[in-house]
Amino acid sequence: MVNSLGVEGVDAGSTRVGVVPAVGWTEGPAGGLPGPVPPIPVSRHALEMLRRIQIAATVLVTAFAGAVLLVGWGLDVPAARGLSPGSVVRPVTACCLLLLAIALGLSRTDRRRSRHRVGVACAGVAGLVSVLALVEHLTGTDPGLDRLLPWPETVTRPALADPGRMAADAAVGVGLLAAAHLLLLARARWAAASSQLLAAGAGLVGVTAAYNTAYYYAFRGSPLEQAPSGSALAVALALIVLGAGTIAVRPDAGLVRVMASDSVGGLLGRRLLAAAATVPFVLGWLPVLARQNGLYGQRLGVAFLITGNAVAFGVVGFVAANFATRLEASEAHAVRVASAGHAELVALIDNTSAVIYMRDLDGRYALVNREYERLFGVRRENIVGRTDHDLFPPEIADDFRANDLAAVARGSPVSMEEVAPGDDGPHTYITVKFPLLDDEGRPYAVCGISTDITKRKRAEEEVRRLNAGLEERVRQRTAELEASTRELDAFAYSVSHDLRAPLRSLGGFSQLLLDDYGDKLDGDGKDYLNRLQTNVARMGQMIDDLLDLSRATRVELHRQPVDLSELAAGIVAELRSADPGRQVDVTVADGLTGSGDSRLLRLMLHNLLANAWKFTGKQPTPRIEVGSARDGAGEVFYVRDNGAGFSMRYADKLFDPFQRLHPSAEYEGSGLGLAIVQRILGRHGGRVWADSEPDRGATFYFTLTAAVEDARGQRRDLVGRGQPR
Amino acid sequence: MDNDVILLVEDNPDDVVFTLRALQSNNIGNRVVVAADGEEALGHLLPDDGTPPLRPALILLDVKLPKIGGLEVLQRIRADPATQTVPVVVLTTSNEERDIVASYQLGANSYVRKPVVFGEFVEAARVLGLYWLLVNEGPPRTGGGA
Repeated sequence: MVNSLGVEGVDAGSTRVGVVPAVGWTEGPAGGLPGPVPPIPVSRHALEMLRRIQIAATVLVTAFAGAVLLVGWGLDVPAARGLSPGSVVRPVTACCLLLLAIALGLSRTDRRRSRHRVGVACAGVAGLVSVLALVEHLTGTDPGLDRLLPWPETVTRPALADPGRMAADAAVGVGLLAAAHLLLLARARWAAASSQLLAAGAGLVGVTAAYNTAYYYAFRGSPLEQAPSGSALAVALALIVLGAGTIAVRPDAGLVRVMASDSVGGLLGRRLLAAAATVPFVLGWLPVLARQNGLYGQRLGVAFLITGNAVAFGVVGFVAANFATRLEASEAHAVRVASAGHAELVALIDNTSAVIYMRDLDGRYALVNREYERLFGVRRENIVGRTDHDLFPPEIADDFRANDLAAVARGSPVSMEEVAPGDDGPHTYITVKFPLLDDEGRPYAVCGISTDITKRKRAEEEVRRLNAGLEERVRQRTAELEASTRELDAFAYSVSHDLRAPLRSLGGFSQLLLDDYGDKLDGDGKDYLNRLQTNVARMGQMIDDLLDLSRATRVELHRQPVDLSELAAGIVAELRSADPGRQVDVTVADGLTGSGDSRLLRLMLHNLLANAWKFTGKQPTPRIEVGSARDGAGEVFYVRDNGAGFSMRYADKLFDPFQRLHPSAEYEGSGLGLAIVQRILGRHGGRVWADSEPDRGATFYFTLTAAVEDARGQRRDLVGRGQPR
Repeated sequence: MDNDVILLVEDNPDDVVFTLRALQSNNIGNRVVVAADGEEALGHLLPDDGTPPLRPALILLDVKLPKIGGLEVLQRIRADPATQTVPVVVLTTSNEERDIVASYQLGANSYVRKPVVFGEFVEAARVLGLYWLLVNEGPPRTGGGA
């Protein structure tokens, strides 16, 4: 906006116009955040200019006064005693100007005390001399100050009517400047302003004298004009320059600060000052020119002067008004833009589910959002200025306060969990706190954004509780299971003993009948007793198989490396010795090893091999093969025979207890063998499946680990019931 | 003399009949003393009423017995110096691993499961008698009672 006005010299970024109070929406007693209005910095542009003025004044006046003293008076060169032959700068005046120039040069630019003292001494001497000169003027005495100077009296005295005396106005100017310099030493706020006023006074004395002299030269020769009695033009100019330089010493204080400030006011002030410094002089000069050229007389000149002043004021007023009007319009626009943005921000923080708040460094609330109001049942007008200790139990408020201070101390956002009371018990929040920093990077408030995570927390708690409950239930179930396993164990034990005993009696007595009374029985009687014997034997086998099945389920698994080749060979040897009448071609591959419970694996292999043995009974060239195939993820073992086989249609019944695919008259068996096999492999994490065709033999595959099973999911379809138990 | 005595600890009268019959079938003529439970067996072996103790050549011991179980009887036999060297054959229906293990741990000399089929039972009795009464050289007799 500033640039659109064409205003140069004001940094766009630092313009304070239209800045909205940061906490405008709180409208409470603490709405004053963030603290007092900061001072507007001095425009860099103005600062640089003032510094240059100070240096230029020092250099110019030092050079001029030095030249007057050394060349004009020391070397006795009359032309070098002023700016013109008629205007002579007296040695005393030149000395005072030189002292003031030195004082100006030493002030501020260097903080070393020694130089500072020299500057003060210079100003003090100049001031003393000016006072003496004024006393001379008032009393008409001649203390002969010039005699104190090293220049020969023979040069100075004859050249002047009143050789030692400084002109009265020059004395006033020098005195004011000296006082201004001395005032710069004071720290008080008013001192700088007073110093600047005094320096300005000295400058005005110079201006007056300069104008007076200028008029004299303009009307030289006219009977109306007499030679000015005041100081020389050069002295007047030196006073103006020194005045300006002295004013420039403290750009950050007093009146200058306003004029030099990097604000619209400063800019306007500088422009008006420029106008004030030029317009009256130009207007005042015009009648002089007119009169010189005989265009109009003094009366008309004065009239023109007044009119011109009026016009000038009017123009300046218009320009200022125009400037201010455009500025205000622009400002209003900026305020609208800013407040729109402000409203958006307020809407934003009011419509979030998070709790947002701001507190000052003392913990007093500056703002809260709507969620905060809703949650804690307060209104923002009422909460502003209060602290957490007014709202929450002391320990909770202490926690909040500690977190606030932690964020302040760290100077950057801090994240933590906080607990605050809610309607249904304590609520847990994830909070981010961060300090708000002013222009100098100092924290002046703390902002907090808290998100309620109570639901999540409670859900986690619930999950934990359920898990604990689940574990408890698992423990209970395990205990129950163990109890039932013990019952099963007892049952099996009991079956083993008790069921077999009567069976043995049946078999025993039927045998005794045959032995002792066989001659009294006919063929049928003996046949019945033989059938009884046969069934006793079968039932005994069934009981044993049932016990095996139960054992396969309940005994503890002791895994160890097992040589399956050796196991198989041993079992085959047993089968051969139990059935010496048969010739079976058995091949057992070497190096079949696995990991498992050797006793259970023996039982498993026994059942598979006994089956193969049994079902090859009607095959003229019976063959049994035990081997393995490495397939994909692991090793698959198999027991293959060329016996009776079975239809795959019944494959899903194969492993069920008491399921038989062959009539017992053809092949004896309890129907438990494959159930035992499956159970044992299941307990090892492995699987068993079969592949067969009637009269073309059967192959039983098995694995000992779960990994193999997972790698061959398709096999599951082949033998759907092969699920390990 | 009880040098040839076989102590049969068996509660099942049928099994007593079968055992006697099997021994008889195999011409094992040793006198057989039958105890129907563990208490009775201990009464014979380690009497506490002053009666002379029995010192059998072989004890056939069932595991599952009323009053005092077979395994406890075995333990007591092995704990007493007078009976600790008597050969004990555990003759039982059970083929439970724990029974087998416990029997051997307690000092059984043999563990035989009673076969269901009588022929096998007779065969087992024959082998047992042959081995323990004829083949095996038993521990030297330390006198003993009457």
